[in-house]
Amino acid sequence: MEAPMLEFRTAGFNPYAVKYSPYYDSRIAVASAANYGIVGNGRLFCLGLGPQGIQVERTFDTNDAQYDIAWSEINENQLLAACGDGSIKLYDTNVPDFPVMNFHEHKRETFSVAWSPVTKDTFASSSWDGTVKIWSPARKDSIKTLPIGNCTYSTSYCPSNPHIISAVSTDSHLRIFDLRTPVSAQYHLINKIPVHTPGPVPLPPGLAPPAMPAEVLTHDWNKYNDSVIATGGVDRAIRTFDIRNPTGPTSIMMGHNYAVRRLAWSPHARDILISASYDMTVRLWTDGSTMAQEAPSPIKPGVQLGVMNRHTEFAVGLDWCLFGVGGWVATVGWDERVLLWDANQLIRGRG
Amino acid sequence: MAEGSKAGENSAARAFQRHFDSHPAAQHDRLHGPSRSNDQRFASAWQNSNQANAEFLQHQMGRLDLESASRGSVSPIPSLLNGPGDHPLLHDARIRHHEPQHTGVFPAMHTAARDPFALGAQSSNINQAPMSSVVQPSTLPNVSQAHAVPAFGAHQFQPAPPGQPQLWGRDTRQFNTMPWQPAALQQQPHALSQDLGQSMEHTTHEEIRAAHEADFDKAMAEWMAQQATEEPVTDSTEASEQAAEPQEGPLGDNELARVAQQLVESVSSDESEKFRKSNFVDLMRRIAAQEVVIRDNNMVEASQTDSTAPAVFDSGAGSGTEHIPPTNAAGSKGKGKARAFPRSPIIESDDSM
Repeated sequence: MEAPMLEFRTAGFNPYAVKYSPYYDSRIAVASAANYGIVGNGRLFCLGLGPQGIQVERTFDTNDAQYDIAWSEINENQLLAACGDGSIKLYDTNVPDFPVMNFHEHKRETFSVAWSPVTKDTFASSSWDGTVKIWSPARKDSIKTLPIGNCTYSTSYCPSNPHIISAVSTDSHLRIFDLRTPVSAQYHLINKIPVHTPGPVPLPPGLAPPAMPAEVLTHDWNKYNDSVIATGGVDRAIRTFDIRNPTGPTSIMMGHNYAVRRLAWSPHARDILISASYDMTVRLWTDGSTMAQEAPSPIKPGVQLGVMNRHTEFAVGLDWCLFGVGGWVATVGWDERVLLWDANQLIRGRG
Repeated sequence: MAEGSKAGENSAARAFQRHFDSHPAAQHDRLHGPSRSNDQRFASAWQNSNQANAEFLQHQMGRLDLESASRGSVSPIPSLLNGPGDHPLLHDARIRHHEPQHTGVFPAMHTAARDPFALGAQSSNINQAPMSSVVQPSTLPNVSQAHAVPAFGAHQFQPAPPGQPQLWGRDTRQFNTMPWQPAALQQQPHALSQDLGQSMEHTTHEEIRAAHEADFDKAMAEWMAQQATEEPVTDSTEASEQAAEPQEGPLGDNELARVAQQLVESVSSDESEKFRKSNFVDLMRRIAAQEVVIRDNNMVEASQTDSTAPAVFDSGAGSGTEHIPPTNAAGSKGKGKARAFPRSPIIESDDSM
């Protein structure tokens, strides 16, 4: 692709996650770990975009690797870091060096954090200890613990309903929790979707995703259709599910050569998502929901719109910029690089 | 990983290996086969967790058999998620905050940043948080249940009315979404009781609910303890394997080398230039060959581990790699202790720091 690109190097640290600020289009945060997260420290980079390019505004070091970040939705200067020691640290960019709050209940690595986008007063974390915890930034102790039972790689809030939380884990399932249900009813679990199950309807011709259970590493809610969730994982397939009728995927996107590490729906288009993979590529997709139905199967084959192939190590993090014309994307890889690029050309090019 | 963690300092390596093992047969073997290797045993935890889940569920269902209610044919999801159509909700919500808010929408947070104890004198910010985007549960399909618990759709998070005692103990900053509070019960408790064929008073209902919550907390604590202590054992062979090799403990040099070797083998068929030149894959090769080992929270050349000042391994992934050396022997126990960070005066005492 020929899209313009900005670059920043996280020297000595391998990034795991990147997030645009929900307040500023010129502020980006990157969570990283030394030695690929195997051993060593972590560093949180707060980056600013200006005439001089990408500049470091603040860094926060941690004893352990950092696996994920989430900007606060209620304070433009604060953000969370999910750490390898099981803690979650809340940093304020106006307070150097130290976290303003430390939340430590997870017994294993905290692997994802997500701030509630609706009520903005809570955040959720998932961990390899097999739990999802819900927190208030004003309380040191968690508000609620949702048991998953196995390594939980990703958790997220429904973009329209603050009481609904999702999680994906190693057991190849997507779980949906509704906090309004009685705690005695399966601890708020209302839906458990086997991601690998093909469903009762025939697959489109030429589409054969793996049907064996595989670790699900990432997922995201569609920002325009809040009953649709996309998942990706070790089996290299990206699937979308309509959780109103979770008998099988509604769309399948195949193309990555290795596990899909991170994906995100576009905040600007209802059918566009982007994915980062261990195959060192970042790919842009349409789930096919806005395309004419040609195949007899109700499962839509997603279409790959383009490949960003600049990373030279595993691509592990990405995020869409919420502002501007839409289409700007930040991606990070273990090549110690943060790349900001415009996916508009790929989106427009689909015809 | 670090203290307080069972992970072991390089459990991330196990994860990488698992992520690359995408062969269907391997997945199947991982889940069902008796001969899975130690580092491929994530399914063991899965199986075990299912058992734990079932036991925990039994505990919960001992009071209220709600499995059919939440697993039955009626799903509360569709109506719950009937949001305002195609509106880009998140985008809109964020656009509303596009203007810099230097004073903070959540002033207590700024206060907390400086003095977390100041929050103690304030009422819950959560209770007052707007929930404008919440779909009205009254539109939910009616769930006919023969239980003394209303349908999911009748449940609604509501702040506790003034003067009503908090259900969750002493702190007035409690999160009122925890105690499930049927809206109808608050407004017409007697009518609801009649509908449910019960004569319980409002306070009685709350007591029962509080008891349920206490049971849940207790069961959760037991479940978590069980998760932390139990190891899945399916047969004697696997039991002996586990006895010899802890599943998720810190990896020794040999174990780490074995994991690295498996990862290298999983990408060995990839002839692309990127993988041939990958620093990470090269590091895995060197770890597999035990040319690089982990000592004192650093990757070091194995040939120099005998020297008094081991050379820090440079992964070569970036220019000017900055490694933070261990401050001293006492400060470098496992991962996360490579550098001692002084405590902030504004942080409450916490062992994790």
